[in-house]
Amino acid sequence: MTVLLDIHNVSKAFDQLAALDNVSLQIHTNEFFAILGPSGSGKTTLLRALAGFESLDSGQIVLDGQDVADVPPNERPVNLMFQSYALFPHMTVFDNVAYGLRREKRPQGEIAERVTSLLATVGLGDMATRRTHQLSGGQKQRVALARAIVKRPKILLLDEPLSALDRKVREDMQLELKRLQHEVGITFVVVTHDQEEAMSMADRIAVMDQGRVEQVATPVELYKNPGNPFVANFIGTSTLLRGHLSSGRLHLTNGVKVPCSLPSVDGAEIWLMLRPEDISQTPAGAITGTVISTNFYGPNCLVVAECGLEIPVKYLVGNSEVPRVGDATKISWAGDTGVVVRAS
Amino acid sequence: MGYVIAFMVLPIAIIATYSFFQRGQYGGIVYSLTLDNFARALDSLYVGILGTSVALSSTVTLLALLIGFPTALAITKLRPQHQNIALVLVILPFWTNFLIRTYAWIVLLSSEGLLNQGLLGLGIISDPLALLYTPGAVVMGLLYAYLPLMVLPIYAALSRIDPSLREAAIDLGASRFTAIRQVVFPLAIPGTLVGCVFVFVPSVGNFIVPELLGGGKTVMVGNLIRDQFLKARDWPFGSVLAIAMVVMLVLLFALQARITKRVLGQG
Amino acid sequence: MTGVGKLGWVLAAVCFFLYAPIAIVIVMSFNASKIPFQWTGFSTRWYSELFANASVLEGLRNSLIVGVSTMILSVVLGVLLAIGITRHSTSSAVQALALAPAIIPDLALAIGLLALFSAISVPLGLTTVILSHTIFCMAFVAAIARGRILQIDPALEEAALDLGDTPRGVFFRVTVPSLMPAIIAGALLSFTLSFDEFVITFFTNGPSTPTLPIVIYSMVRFGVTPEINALASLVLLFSVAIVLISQRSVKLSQSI
Repeated sequence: MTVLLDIHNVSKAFDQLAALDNVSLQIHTNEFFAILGPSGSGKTTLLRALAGFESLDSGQIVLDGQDVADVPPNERPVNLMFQSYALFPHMTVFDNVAYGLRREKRPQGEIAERVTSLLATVGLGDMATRRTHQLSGGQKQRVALARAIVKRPKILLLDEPLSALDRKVREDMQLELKRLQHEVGITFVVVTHDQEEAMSMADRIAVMDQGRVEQVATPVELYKNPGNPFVANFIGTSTLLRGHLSSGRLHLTNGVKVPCSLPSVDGAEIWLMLRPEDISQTPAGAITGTVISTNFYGPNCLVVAECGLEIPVKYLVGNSEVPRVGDATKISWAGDTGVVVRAS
Repeated sequence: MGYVIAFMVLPIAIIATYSFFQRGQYGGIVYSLTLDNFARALDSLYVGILGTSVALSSTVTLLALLIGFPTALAITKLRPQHQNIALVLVILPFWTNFLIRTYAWIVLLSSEGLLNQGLLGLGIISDPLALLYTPGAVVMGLLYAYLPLMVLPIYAALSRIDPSLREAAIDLGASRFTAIRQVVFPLAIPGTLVGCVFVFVPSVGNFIVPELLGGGKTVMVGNLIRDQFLKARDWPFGSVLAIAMVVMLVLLFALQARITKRVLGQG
Repeated sequence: MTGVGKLGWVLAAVCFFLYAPIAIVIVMSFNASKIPFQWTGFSTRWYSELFANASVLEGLRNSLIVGVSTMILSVVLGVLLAIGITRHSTSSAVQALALAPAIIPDLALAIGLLALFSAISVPLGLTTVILSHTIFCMAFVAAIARGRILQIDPALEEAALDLGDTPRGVFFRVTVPSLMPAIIAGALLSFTLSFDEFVITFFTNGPSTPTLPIVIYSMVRFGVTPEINALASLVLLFSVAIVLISQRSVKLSQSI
């Protein structure tokens, strides 16, 4: 895997507020990469810096061996798909997509060929002469995509690509984007706040918070081994419990001691992260609690129970065993499940 | 975009030229600084004229407010498609020739004019009324000219008030009248103030209406300034008067901004 | 929301008030009688006499020259000004100053300009009139353009840059076309404003090149005549037509 984009110790502040704080990460060729984080995490600033619309206070951005920090946006081999799509309202679909190629002064024939074939690839083959205001949200997005892809940039940046779409369309588009990325062979970098989106589409994800990169890993790795409480809380649903480890048992904050055979230092204060599927409801459970809410998810149900710990516990049950709100419940988990997360 | 900055300086340059003349004088040949003109301006004659101008303009503004506010309110209650048509209707006269609109009032008000003819014909009066060349005619003329400028900002302010605010007040127990008084009115004040300023400011500086409809019997500060510049050729004195007018208006703007801040800021 | 109700009467009365005088002038212009207020029959003779009147024709010619020149200049400058204050500056003081000429009394602006021209010894004539009109029309165009700019997605220009265009190219290929409705409305309105402009012209014009409003003024000072009625009607209808056409591009309510 060759490194295509090397972001090296990049920092940027707005009015003394650090938007990017010593950010470093590497993106490989032909990767589908996601930058994930809540609002204010700096992900949009990073995206704009990659596109050339924000200058850096310090650090380097090296694309394919070339430092692009001083290269203006219209000269970078990077293209951006805007969150609002930013389609030119006074031009047809064809003219929108052809805009970039025309600026490259390509011959007419080549432009026509590339535009029409790409429009066909994104499923808009017969829309070339339409005006942009006549299109639906999903169609507008495809035009925006096509317009950026047709120039064959080294990196395609996508700013919250699916946020404006309805749920059903969004699911279809997730598959579309994956397929497209493989077909055109361009490195995609998606910026999003939606962890489900990032997890389902990306090969690797960088999780950001408050201008810093918290962890870079594959979706599975992030889910199974979050590096710190922030990542654990941000990715998927989890219950994070504080406890004191002593001779193979975890002393929880409500006084209950449960077996814990996970590798860690004896006597240490740890965070134990449990996914809902790690915990089961059983009459022999060591921890008792009261059900506060139940949330139906299709194949199973997420139950939230107040157990006297610092936070309520979230666990999954099958549809045939759903308790009622207010019922008493007993839960437990195996000593070797869960992940020890270091406090940051 | 340096060009843009340069062009922004132009209007400022003009206003700057003013202060030039305020302090500097020239009587054709000699440039010398003097404050004589300021003293002259304070002469009771001129103060009286300024007073008349303010009084007349205030009357016009008040009338415009009394008529304009309900009008703007009426427009907000029309169906959305009709609102724009109504706005265009109200604002259209403003975009036509000011002189001609004033002239139309001469047609109406003169002693052989239509209004008199109508009243005579209906037997309501036996002698034509002297409607023209009175302060009343001047007020009418100014009101006619600037009423649209009162309606537009009030409409803008009213239409921006979220209707759910009023509904929320009623939901929380206020009577319809109280809801209007406590929610709608305060939010409409800034727009109303803008409307008042838009009417008062041009009225004060106007000289056409006092001349054509007032017949020289009602002299306003606008006429005075015009005369100083074009007839008496006493530019310095004219400038002083103009500065006085502009200063008064700047104070008005500041006052309006202050009140707006108060109402919106603490609201 | 309850309907218009009784307030509708206020609106109707106001419209009547605004249009009645104008309507009367138009009706009277077709009066065959030479004595204004006595109706003797329908005639268009005053209109034909207008076209034979040399000073009216000269005024018209000058007004058209000034109007078209002002229109072109104020659109170019006004749009640049609008872009400057909307995209490149956040200071509200700057914004107020830029739009000031539209708000300060025309008399103040007029004598300020007169003072300026004489200070730099520029002879008064059509050129000074054009410059003066441009200064205040420019502010109107800027106000209209600003309204439109605020509605446009700022990402459009970034998108064009991202796709490889130069800043100048972006301006002509993306910015200007997306502002076109405001440009058209601004052009039409500044032409109208210039065409109807009296006060500023009065002060900044030379004696030998009167514009149409100045011609009208000298006619009106002598009293009501049928020729004025005809001329007034034509000018009114002309202005109305232009404003209505411009409405198709930009709704006036959006530029407040």
